[in-house]
Amino acid sequence: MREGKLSLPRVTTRQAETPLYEALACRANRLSGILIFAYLAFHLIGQAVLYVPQLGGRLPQLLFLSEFQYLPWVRAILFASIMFHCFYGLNLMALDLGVRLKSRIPILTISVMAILSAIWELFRYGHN
Amino acid sequence: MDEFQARATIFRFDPTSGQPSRYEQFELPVTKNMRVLDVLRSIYETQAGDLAFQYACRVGRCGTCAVIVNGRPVLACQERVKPKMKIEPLSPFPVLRDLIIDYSEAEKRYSDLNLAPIAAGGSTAPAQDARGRATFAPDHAREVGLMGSCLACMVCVSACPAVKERAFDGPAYMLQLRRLSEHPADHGARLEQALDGGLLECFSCGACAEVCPADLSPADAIRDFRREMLLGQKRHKHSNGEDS
Amino acid sequence: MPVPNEPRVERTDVLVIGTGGAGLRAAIEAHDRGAQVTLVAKGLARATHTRMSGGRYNVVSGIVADDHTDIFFQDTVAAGARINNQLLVRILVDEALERAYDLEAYGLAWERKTATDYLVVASGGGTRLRTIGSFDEGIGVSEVMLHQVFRRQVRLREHHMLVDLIGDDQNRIVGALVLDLAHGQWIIYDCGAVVIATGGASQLYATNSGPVFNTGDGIAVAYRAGAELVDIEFMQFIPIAFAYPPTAKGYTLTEPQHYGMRHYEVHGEPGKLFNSLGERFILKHDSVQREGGTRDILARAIMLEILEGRGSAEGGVWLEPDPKVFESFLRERPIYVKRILENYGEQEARFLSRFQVMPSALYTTGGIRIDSTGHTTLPGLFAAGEAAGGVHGANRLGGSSMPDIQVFGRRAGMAAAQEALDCVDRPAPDIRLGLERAAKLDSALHRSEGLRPPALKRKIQDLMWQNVGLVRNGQGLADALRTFAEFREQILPHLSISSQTRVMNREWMEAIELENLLALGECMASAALTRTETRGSHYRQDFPEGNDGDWVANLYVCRDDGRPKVKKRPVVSLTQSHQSHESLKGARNG
Repeated sequence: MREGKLSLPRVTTRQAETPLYEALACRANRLSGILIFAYLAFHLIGQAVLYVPQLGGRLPQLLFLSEFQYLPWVRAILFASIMFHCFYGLNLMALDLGVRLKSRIPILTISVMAILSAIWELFRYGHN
Repeated sequence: MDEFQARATIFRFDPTSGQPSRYEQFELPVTKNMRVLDVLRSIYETQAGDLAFQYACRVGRCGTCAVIVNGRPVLACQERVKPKMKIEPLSPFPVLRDLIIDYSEAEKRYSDLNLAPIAAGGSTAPAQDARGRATFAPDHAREVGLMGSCLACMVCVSACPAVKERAFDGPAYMLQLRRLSEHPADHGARLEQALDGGLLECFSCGACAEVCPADLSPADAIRDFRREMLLGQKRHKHSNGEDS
Repeated sequence: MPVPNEPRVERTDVLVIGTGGAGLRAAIEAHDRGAQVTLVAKGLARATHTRMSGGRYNVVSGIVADDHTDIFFQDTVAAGARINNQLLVRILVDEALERAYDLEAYGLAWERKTATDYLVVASGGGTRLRTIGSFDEGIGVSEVMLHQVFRRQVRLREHHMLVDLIGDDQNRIVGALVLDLAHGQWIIYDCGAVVIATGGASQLYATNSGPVFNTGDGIAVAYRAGAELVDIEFMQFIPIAFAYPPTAKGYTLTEPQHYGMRHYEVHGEPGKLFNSLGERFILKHDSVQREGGTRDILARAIMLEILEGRGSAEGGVWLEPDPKVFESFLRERPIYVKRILENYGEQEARFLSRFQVMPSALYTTGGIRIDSTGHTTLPGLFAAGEAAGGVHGANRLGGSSMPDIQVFGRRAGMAAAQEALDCVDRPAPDIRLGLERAAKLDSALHRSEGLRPPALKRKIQDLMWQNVGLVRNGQGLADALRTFAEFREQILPHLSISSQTRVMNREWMEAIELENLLALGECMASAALTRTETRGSHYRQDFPEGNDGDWVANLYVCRDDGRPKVKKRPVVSLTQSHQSHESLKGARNG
């Protein structure tokens, strides 16, 4: 039982009334990882096309990527992904090292941090 | 008593009939404190006498009534009724009929793991040092005992995202291997067995602990194994003073 | 329409029916003695009464200085109102410790007070502390034993229901007719010995604490085959069980003494019981042990309050636990706290508020007559556990079923293996009778008018609760017998079944079960009518006193021309020799 000194067992009679956040968070971690890689790919290609004249000449249609990476909503998604993926990974490491936590608290905290960082990034870029 | 009308949409399938699977809808009055199993029994008794569903103890101890309700694996006898319930057989198991699944593969995996204490030297005969009250600290006995209250209901295996896509036996098996690994009379190579069973495929998402009807945490057991693998430590010493 | 499957014949040495503690232990022992064992379960292997049990185990372990097996013996016989089979009781108290060590060797973690001593607490009716347990309760017992069965690779068949025994022309049991419910396939087992460990018949009663599979199949099948039953009039009602919700209704809440200091001290205060007028009514019945007494007195006291109109709307009374023991209750029985929390609420779970309780049919105290080796009155047939009778007399001590199933499960397995290995040249069962029975039951699949099985089951359950339950009288018992005869003759042959599928057809299974329930109901009511006194859990309003002059005796029931015939015989005491009365090896009906 995951319990403190005198905490009662969990009530498990309303399982189907909420989504399985743990599975969603797991998928969000996978998605955020993919998005980070996708951004890196866009960034690399965008920079390469911008600064390597031969490439820029051959693949003019990819030039948009160099601007695409600075779009506010793209940055917001990037930061949310980095925030979520990074702290979810730290959470996994802490759990592996023996820190016992109820899974919903870290998931909630990390999700909120991710959303806030996305908003912050939007705000930051929106002013340019 | 608070009463309301509930609608149950239930998966129907008879593999011997040659008909494809379908969903059938039922309406019935329920009270707030009833459980999904009450709904199934009521439908069987008054509306569809050919409904196939499984249960025995109806109080959450035998683990045989597991089904999927509104997309979530639960014990039918524990999950409270809702105004709308979609009730399906527990995935990813083969269906015998309607809501009854075939547990034989799941049981075979338990059987293959040899989950009784293995004495030092590999003998599988009951350990002689268990006679005359072997040393077993109270808290340690409690932890091992609590892990033994796993119902083998397969709800965690059904909820596990890794089981669906990797070669992973499932959280329930890892928990039982951990129970033996923590048991002072067991000297089996439990970590090796866990690795063979796909321990490292676990995503550590914690879904298993969230859905467990017995309030256990296979996730913690898996993490304990991973820590043992990396750092070589067990949570409790063996009764004879060994630390592995 | 699918073609009915032809019965398949399978050979095995020992056929064990039932995967509760007794069946699992019998299978383990028979296998270890060299027999080839087939173990069958009506549902899944884990769907047993053992699984639902709190796993409390009475044993004289040497930890409690003032306890001794002689005292355990005396407590058992006192609780059983002196009609226990004393030879069986002696064996129970003497072998309980070795079997507890067996369970520990299997991997069960008995709770500890210190690193070397078990935690030993009290149970209802015991005069000393002698109950041990594990945190995983009956779940743990069931699991560790199942893993022993897996380790030995014993052939385990689930969804296989025992339908009848097959005897030869000298009434020796040589086989069994079993229905594979998952495929609708009939199987005839050709075996050297059969062990019946199918549990009790708690499903006979409207409010019960057992699993839905416990319809007394093994007891009824043995009775139909000609075996003698003993003490079948005694049904133990647990005094306190959940009153709601419907799924939990009837599920045991153990005994009031575990909800107070009585759990630790033999003279402490148990949890208190109150009626709707706020009276602590047990004081009218037993002011010495109060709510810490034996289950029979407690259950009757509660039932009388309810019948006399001083119960709750849901048909219960109130238990007031002692908040001082909440912490230790949570540490020792977390699973129970969880159930109270989920069914009643947080205040109740923390022992800060009263909650409703009601009596419920728990344990079939009587059953198939056995001797000290597990033999029944039919050669080739053995029995153990709740399906067997005689160990506990008129009332069972809380915590004594766990050692019973281990001790007598092992003995039955041992004797069955011996029987099977001794009789190598035995005739194969005459399968014609099996085929006839199978065909008759197959035809039940094709009827579509008449009462449906669940409806008849409810009728039987309500009638048993009213007339053959906690409070009985001659008129009610006679009425019950008449009604059962009507059910048997007029309704049972015309039960209707909605679907003809052969796969997991619950109505078909229930139709077969109903024949067993009716047979047992008749046996119980007949024996209860014959015993014109009150003893243990058998309470007659028309004979409310115990009659030690005439009734320190056991009633034996056997089937005579399709009806139960009741015989009275003196109690089996320790002073009787083995040869004369006790040993049933090689005995015929007599």
